Amino acid sequence: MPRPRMTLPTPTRARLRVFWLAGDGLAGTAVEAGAWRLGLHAVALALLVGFLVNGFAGWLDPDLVRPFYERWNHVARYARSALRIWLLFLAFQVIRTVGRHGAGEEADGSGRAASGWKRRQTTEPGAYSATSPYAVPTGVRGWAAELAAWARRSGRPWVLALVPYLWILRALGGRFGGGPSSRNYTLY
Amino acid sequence: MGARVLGEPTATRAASRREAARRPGSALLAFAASLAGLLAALPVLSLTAPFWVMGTLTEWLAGALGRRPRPWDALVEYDPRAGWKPRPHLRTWAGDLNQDTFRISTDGDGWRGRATLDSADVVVFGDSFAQGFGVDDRHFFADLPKEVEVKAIGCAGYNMLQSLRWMETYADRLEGKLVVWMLYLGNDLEDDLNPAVGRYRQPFLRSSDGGVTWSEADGHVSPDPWTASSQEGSRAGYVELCRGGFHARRALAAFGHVLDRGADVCSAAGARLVLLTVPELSPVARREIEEALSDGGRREAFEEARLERDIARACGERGVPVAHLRDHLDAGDYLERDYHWSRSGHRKVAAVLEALARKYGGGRDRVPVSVRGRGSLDLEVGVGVDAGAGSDGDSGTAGRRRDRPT
Repeated sequence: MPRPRMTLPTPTRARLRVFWLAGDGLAGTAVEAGAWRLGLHAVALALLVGFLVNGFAGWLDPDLVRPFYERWNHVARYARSALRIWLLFLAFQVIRTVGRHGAGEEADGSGRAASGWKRRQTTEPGAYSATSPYAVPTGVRGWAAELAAWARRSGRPWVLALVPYLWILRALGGRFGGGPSSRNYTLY
Repeated sequence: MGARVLGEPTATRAASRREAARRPGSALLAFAASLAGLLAALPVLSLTAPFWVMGTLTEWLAGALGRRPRPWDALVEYDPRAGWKPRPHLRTWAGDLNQDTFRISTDGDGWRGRATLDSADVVVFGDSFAQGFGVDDRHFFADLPKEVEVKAIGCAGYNMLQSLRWMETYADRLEGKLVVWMLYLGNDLEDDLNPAVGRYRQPFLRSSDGGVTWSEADGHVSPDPWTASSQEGSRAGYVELCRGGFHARRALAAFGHVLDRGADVCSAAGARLVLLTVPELSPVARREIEEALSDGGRREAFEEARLERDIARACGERGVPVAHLRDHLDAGDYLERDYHWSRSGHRKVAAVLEALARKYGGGRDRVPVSVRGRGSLDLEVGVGVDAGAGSDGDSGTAGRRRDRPT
């Protein structure tokens, strides 16, 4: 089962060839079907030859494909960012809807000036793992199973409603925005 | 058994469950909101569908249909002289630094190319460049010349001392041949001073009197993995070499020692030695050099021509002609995501070798090496002009001057 992905992987010759042939094949099939349906049989045949030659040229010299591959990937990255922002917005709306109607979470929306922080409940050092509802029980593997276990243990089954969003966001990969650098020692 | 609470009461699991139980509609509400959100996401998901299809297909089909390169360990074997050498009788696929595969075949001794050492007019010694790393057998520079037969003896990761070991090994078969010693400026000089590349042990040069005299260290060479810290020469090291400081003086002194030894071997064998420098022109290397230069004022005193001048001076002092591939190659002659030559680079190198053979001996009608004069630095430009007249139509490189920007 291939893992879905939106952006293209690092270009190797094999990937350049596959990209070109897949694109050529898909576009060719769509255009051919359209031309045939419209009764433009001569045009369809001419286009067929064109698509075959085009595919063959890219197969023979994948370096010809590289600029197209890179441009496609450039646009794909923008599309990925847009989709990610939209999905995060929607997921936030789900959380906010539940939060407003009370789900055990205590949202602090007292005003724009409020920090949003609440005083942390403290426990003796070393006792967190015993008391935390966030601890993952042993034997649970995979992020979805971990989330399900956490939702059950913490009494927040509504969190599972976020799974489709998390699944797509995970497939999008990459980093969102500019996170702190791993060399940013000032955090410590 | 609950933990003792220091501040406000801790929300325990039981409390959370009780709290959730008081609000049974929260999960239902969340799933309804989630469904509505997914419906709102559908238009955007549909718009991005072509990217999902192409990204997934490209990754999956290339993985399923593409060739898998054999790992490095399967391509080399231990050799007590050099530390490692290519395995003999290979007929397999190797992977370059970008994991692009290339077909590689080796003869009974582990060297690439159709020519045999005895039939060759030109014998090339060197590292991965001499091995033709990154291109298929049919594009390998040693098999391209029409006028001369070329045998390349090289392996990825070799320093100059390792090449010298093979020169010594084959000395009695070099008589009357042109020996071309490739010197990759990117790391060969630095690697002469390193005891290992990764976990592979290699002979290296050391000096205990500040670089006046040098000794070859190989007592540590064995099949056992090297466990101390070690790495192949880096772009940061190359930058230091081009700045002409202590690091450069030490590496050049070691180079002088190994060049002396090579010149002696060739002289005793009745072969003519020419040094051929391989510049750092690949796009990936240039990016790394720029990165290294941006680190702490290293740009000051950085001059790549200085390194080539120093090498040419050392060669001149020993009467060894030197040619610089910088005069013939540009960035387009290197792989896009690897340090090595592309097909066009191999074609140009083949033309340069033919030109060197015409100038210094070798070839079907070669003049005995013994009647030829000793080389000088003047030969650099002459080689550049000759190489442009190569038979494969690469005349665009003719007459390129060394002082052109890189």
